[in-house]
Amino acid sequence: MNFIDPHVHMISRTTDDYEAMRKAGVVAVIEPAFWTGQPRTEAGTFKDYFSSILGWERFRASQFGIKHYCTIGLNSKESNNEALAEEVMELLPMFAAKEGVVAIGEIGYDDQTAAEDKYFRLQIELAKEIDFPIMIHTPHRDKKRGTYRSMDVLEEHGMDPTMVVIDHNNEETVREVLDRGYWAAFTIYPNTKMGNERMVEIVKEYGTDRIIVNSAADWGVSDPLAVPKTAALMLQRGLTENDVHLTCYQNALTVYGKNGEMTEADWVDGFEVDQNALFEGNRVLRGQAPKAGSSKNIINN
Amino acid sequence: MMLKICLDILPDEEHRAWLEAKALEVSTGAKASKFYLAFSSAPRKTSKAPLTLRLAQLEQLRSLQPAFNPATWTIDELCRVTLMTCLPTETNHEVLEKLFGTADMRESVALYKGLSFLENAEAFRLRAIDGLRTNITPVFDAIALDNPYAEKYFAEQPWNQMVLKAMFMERPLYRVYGLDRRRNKTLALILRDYAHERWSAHRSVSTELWRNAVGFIDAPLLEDLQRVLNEGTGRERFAAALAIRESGLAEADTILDKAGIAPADLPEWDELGRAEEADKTLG
Ligand SMILES: [Zn+2]
Repeated sequence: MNFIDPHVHMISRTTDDYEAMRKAGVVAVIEPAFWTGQPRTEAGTFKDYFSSILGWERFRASQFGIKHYCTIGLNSKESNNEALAEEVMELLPMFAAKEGVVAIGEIGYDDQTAAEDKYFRLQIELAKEIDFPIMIHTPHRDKKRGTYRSMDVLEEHGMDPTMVVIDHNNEETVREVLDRGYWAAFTIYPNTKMGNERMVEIVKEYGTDRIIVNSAADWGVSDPLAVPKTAALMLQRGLTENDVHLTCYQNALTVYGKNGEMTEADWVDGFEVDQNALFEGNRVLRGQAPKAGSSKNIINN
Repeated sequence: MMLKICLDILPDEEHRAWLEAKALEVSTGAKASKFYLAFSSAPRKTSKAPLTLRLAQLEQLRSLQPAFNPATWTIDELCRVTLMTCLPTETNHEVLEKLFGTADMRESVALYKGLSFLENAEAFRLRAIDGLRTNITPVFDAIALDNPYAEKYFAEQPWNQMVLKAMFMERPLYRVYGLDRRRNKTLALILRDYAHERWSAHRSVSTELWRNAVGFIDAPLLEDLQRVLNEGTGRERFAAALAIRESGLAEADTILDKAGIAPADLPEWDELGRAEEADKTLG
C-alpha cells in the first residue's frame, strides 16, 4: 500500500530512514516548518532553514523515491522572541507561496502567550490572503484549552475549517475538532501518549472522515515508520483497506492538495530517480554505487 | 510595456486577470510582501507551459530583449519578469536583492532572465556577476545564454570568466549574446591554455572555442589551429579553418587549400554550435 506521512521533520532524519520509509510504502511526506530543538537567535537562520526544507531536503527525499513537500510558518515557541519574530514575519512572504509549499504551518500556541497569539493571527491572515490550508500545532501543556482556543481564533478570522488541520489530537480533543468541521490529525509517539494501539481505537470510534495519521518524527525519540506501522495494526485489528487508505493517505492528500501544489500525479506513475544527480553540486552518496530508475524501484522492496 | 506584451501573449483569461491585478498592486507601491507572494505564486496562478508566440509578439519581445529565445521561456517566467518590471525603480533594487537571497531554482532563473528588462538593469551588475558562480546549469544559462545583459554591462574580466565557465560547463557558446563583439586577446589566450589542458588530458575541446580566437591568432595559436586541421574531426577542422579565415590572415587561403577545405564548404559558426548542442542533447 502507498502511504503519505503528512507531518515529519526529515531535516533531522537519516538516509536510512528515507530508505526504510520508501520500503514501507511511504510515497510522499510533508515537512512542516517548526523549531529545531534549540532556539534560533537570528532571522538569517530561519531563512536558511526555510531554504533547506524547500531545496536540499526535497532533493534528498527524491533520491530515495519520496516526494517531499513542506509548510512554511513561524512556530509558536519562537514567536515569543518578538524582535526575532518580527524579522521572520518579513521573511514569510518570500517563502510561503513557493512551489512545493502546501500550507502555512505549524502555527498555533505553545504557552498561549500574547506574543504567540499575535503571530498566530497574522499568519492566519497570510494563509487567507493566498488561499492556503493551515496546519495547527496544538500545545502539549494545557492541550484541550489550547486546541479550543486555536479554533476560536481561526473562526474569529473567518477561516474555513475545511482548510485547517488541527494536529496532535488525542481522545480528549478529537470530538470537538471534528464537530467544528476541521481535519483532525494524530501523531503516533512511540511508547508514549498517542501510541498506535490507541489510534486504532480512535478510528474504530470516530470513523475515517477527516482523520489523518502522522509520525511527527523529528530530532527527538520518534518513529518515521509510525504511519505504515499504524496502518498494519489497523488491518490486523479488523479495519478495512479503505479505512487505512483514507487515514494514512487520501485524507492528507485531499486537504494538503487544496492549493494545487501536491497532486497524486507527482508520484503515482513513479518519477525518475538518478542518484548521480546533483543539487547545487552535491549528491547524497558517499562512494556507494549510484542507482537510477523509477521512484517505484529505487529501494529494493 | 512588458505588461502589455505579456497580457497579449497569455492565452488564458483568468491568468490575464490575475497578472493585471498583481501588476497594478506592484506598480502602485504595494508592500514588498505583495510582490514576493505574487512572484512566487506565478506558476500556480498561471501555468508552466512553454510560450507559443506569433511572430509579431516575438518581435515585440526582441525589441526589449534582442536575444529573446522563446524556446527557453515558460508562461509563468514571462509573468514573473513582467512583475519585476512593474516594481518602481526607486525601490526595485532593494526588493529584488532580498529575493535573490531566498529564491528557489525556477525563481532564480526568472530573476536573472528578467534583469535586462529593467530600466535600471545596470544596478544589478554585481548580482549578475555573482550569479555566475552557481553550479546549477539552468541558473547559469539564465545569465549566460540568450541574454543581452552580460554583453551590455560586464567588463572584460567577468565576461571572460563567463565564457570560460560556459566552456567548462559545456554550454552552447553560440547562444552567448554578443560573443563575437566581445572577443578579446586575453580571452583568446585563456581559452588556448584551456585547450592545452584538455589535450594533455587526452580530451577534446568544443569547436566553439576557436570562435573566440578570431582576430587574435598569433604564431603559437596558429600552430594549434594547424594541429587541429591536421588531426581533428570534421567539425573541429571546420572550426579551425573558420577561425583562420575570419581572422584575415594573409596565408589563410594557402592553409585551407593545403588542408583540403574549400571556403564554400565552411559552415557558419552558429551552425557549428547548433550541431554540437544537438549532439549533446542526444547524449
Ligand atoms: Zn512538528
